Amino acid sequence: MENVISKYCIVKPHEVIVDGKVDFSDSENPEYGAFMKAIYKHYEVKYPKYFKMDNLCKVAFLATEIVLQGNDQIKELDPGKVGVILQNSHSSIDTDSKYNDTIKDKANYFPSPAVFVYTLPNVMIGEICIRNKFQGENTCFIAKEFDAEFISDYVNGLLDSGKIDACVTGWADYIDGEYCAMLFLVEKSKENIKDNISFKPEFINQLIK
Amino acid sequence: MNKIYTIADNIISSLGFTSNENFLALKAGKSGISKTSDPKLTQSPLQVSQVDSERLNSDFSRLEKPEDYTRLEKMMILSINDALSQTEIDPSKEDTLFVFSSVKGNIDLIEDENHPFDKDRIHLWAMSDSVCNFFKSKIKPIFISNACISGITAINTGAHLLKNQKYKNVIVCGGDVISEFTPSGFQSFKAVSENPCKPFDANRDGITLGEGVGTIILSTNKNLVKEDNPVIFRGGANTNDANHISGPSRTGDGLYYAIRNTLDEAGKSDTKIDYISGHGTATPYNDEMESKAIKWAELDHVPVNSLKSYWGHTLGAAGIIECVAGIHSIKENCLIKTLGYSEHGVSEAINIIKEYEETEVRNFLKTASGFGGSNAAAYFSELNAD
Amino acid sequence: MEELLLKIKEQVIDVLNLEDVEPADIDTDAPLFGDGLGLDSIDALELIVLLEKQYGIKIEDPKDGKKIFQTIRTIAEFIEEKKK
Repeated sequence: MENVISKYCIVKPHEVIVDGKVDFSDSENPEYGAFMKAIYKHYEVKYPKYFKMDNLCKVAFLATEIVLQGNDQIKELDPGKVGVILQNSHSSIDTDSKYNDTIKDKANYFPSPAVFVYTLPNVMIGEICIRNKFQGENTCFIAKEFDAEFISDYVNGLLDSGKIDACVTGWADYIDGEYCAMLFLVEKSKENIKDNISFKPEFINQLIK
Repeated sequence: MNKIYTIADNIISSLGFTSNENFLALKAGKSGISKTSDPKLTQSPLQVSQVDSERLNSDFSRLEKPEDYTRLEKMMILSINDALSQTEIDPSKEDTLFVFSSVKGNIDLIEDENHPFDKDRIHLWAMSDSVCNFFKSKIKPIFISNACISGITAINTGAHLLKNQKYKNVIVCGGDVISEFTPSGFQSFKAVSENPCKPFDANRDGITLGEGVGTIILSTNKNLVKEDNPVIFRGGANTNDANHISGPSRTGDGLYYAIRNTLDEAGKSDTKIDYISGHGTATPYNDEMESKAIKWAELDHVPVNSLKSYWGHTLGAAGIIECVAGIHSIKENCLIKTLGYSEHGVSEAINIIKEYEETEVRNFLKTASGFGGSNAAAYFSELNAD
Repeated sequence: MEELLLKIKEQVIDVLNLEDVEPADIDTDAPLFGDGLGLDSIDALELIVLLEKQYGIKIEDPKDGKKIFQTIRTIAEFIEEKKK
């Protein structure tokens, strides 16, 4: 049985795209933090921990919120069977630099634990899992560019082996004000849903063009 | 299903530059941890396990110019080179894939504004490209950065990719280096012990950090196997405890699920396991959580150790070098003691290895847990065992 | 004391990224952890850094933080005590 994309979301400068259509745009808030906050408010996300997250986690988290919004079925799945598999290019380098700023001046040396904890790219997966109580397979892959062929191979393998029944997967990257998240909810195909898109590289690459 | 053979390995650490050098030190109960006050690494005295830089550069200069590669790249190239020398694999061929794991990669470059490398070299993919270019590999490598479970995730991923038969061999290599970045961060978490760490002990008070690299070569090609009874990768899993980004679940549920899923994949339905190579970072919470997960899995009778008191916590290398030690425990039929452990300090009565012992070891389970709520396990056994 | 209390509130809001919280919203005597502002273990560590950075007070054992960081007032009292 093939695995299908039941919903996807792309967050890029000024725009949120859901299932191929512009779902929210805001050209008045060009700056990253302001745009993320506008998304947070527009989609009525209520999660105070959001404000503690670093920039990478924020965009990955919000894209996941949008993908899962209104999806009650996912809550009925075994939490151990929902995976989160993400890929990114710049790891946590943006926050690494911020943390390094707290240690580089020896006369003003105050290493920050709240910054240090975000110097790991897989913490974005942790934030998504904590919010949604997902406990399945989770891995953060690093590649220069989004590799739809690898990610689909890997995630389809996990779904086909029965290790997971659903997966939040895709790409989330942030560096120096540049960002992009492309997240897909992938599930085993159900007979009653006809027009879902197969989670294969040729289709994925079309969706993110 | 094709079997996944472990056909070669290497460890580069404070205890040596080959698996054998390292395993001999473990058997002798010798730790690589020592105290440093090097101002480039720390603002206060720090216990740490470091790779000998002089030997690194002199060994590396036999292969290439040391100044063209970062510290971690040199360690990785030497490690992979040594592992490859034990096999007939040609790493430039398309049937061989590289899988890397590192938490911080070339992080030492972020602290040195005058480093001689291209500015992109800080990125993890640039580091793996540099290593792959050395071996003339034309296949896009896979890179994993999953905090402290990275090494096991890399092994699990490598095995997973062998199953779909696209590749015949996977070279799994992981590591991290010590610079000021990581120790200062863990110190701000008040998580670093002032003494060499004491896993599972009543007086444990935090981790000791270390640096190193490990390599394991996995293959489905039976013709490359030299032993009569090789060690096989049987199963592995990565889970999340969905509890807190920097603290493990109190119940051990995430790690328990990783163990259960691993043994399920391995088709192992009994609890006859000869050895568990634990994570054992020696923080109060981690070791306590681990004891609960092991008990939950009904493995509290199985001998367990943590090797963190030999090598320190080597982050992206840890899962790999600890699996290499597990493979050598099988090959040499012995169990390494948990250095630093004297008084039981976790609530479950798990069976911590106190003394070096020669006994039949046919299989082992490796576990790990890390920031971001991540947990992982992998299970290996001899060809003639289950 | 009032001046110190206000200053601490401002600093806490700043270092802990408390969104949409004003100093006036924080009750001087309400618990900071648990239900109160919903702070967690990382916040407690960050408060240790705050005391060191802004007031030159070092706390070696994070367990001591539990008592000190009960409320804004207990933090202020601890700072006053250390100043003496």
